[in-house]
Amino acid sequence: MRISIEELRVKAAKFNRLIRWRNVREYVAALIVIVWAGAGLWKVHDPVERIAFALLMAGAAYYMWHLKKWGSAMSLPTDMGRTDCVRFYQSELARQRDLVGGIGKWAIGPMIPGLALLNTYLILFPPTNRRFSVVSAVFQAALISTIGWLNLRAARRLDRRIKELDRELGSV
Amino acid sequence: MTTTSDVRDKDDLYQQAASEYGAALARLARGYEADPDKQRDLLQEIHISLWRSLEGFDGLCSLRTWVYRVAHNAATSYVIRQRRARPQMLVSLDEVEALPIESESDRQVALNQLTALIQRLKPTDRQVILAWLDGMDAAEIGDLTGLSPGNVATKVHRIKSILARDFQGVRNGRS
Repeated sequence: MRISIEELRVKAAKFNRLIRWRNVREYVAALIVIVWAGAGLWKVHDPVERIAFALLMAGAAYYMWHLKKWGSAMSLPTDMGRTDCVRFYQSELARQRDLVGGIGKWAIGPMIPGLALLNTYLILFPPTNRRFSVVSAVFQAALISTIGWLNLRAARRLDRRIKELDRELGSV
Repeated sequence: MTTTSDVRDKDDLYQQAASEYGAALARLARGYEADPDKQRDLLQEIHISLWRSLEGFDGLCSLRTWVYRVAHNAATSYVIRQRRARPQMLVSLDEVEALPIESESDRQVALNQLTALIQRLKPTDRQVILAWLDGMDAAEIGDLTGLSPGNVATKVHRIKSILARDFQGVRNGRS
């Protein structure tokens, strides 16, 4: 395969744009939650509901702050040349492990106070059908628990693989 | 700040690396991806990573070691992404079961089966076998992978056993 330098420049720039777009998408998702919760805060008058929507906005804002602070970390191209293969593989697995393992802490976790308060309020003071409020709350709890459990399981699996590689590096 | 001279150095280094190791990089890509279209994408990704990485080449290792490290690391990142999309069970050299090689198999069939075997290996074992098949010695493989000399020797011994066991018929058939 022969790739000209100019082609490499174009493709590298395209790759950088892809990464930036991926980051923008994550911010947009959080912004949608903020706008939706903001609309709820604007519409409702009950103080408990307003606090719930405010908590949801705060949760989404925290997620955006976390994204800005830690970013979607990727290996630097120079690292690929400086780092031996096993350690590079370990670092990629560790990055993935921290990402999936941390989802509970910085993506789902911050939303739970707002969701819990809102759902509890809607069960106690249902606007229409209490059964619907209960089913909705149970569904949300099941979904959040499943996502959290799957991510933790994936993180543990990645951690085991990282430790396996530690043993490979340590073997004589 | 990157100067014009730095950019020229990076471009010159890339041209040198692509000229000397282009064929090896293509072989490496075949070891990581079976699908021909995806192989081309992977090879392109390797070349882009190599070009970008050379800005930081400091001469502390040989250009060869740098090129192979970037290629294997870029390919490993690729494998990790692919496994997220379509999970696949990868095996270690110790877990490779006997391949059903017919004694009358021709060289191309054997090579295809060897490639298929390599594509099933976990990244670390894949790196060792590909480097060994490319003529690297144990010290160079250790430098590339970070594995200890003893570990490299064990894996190379296992590779030789597999090749002797499963490809002996082919070698005999050729003579």
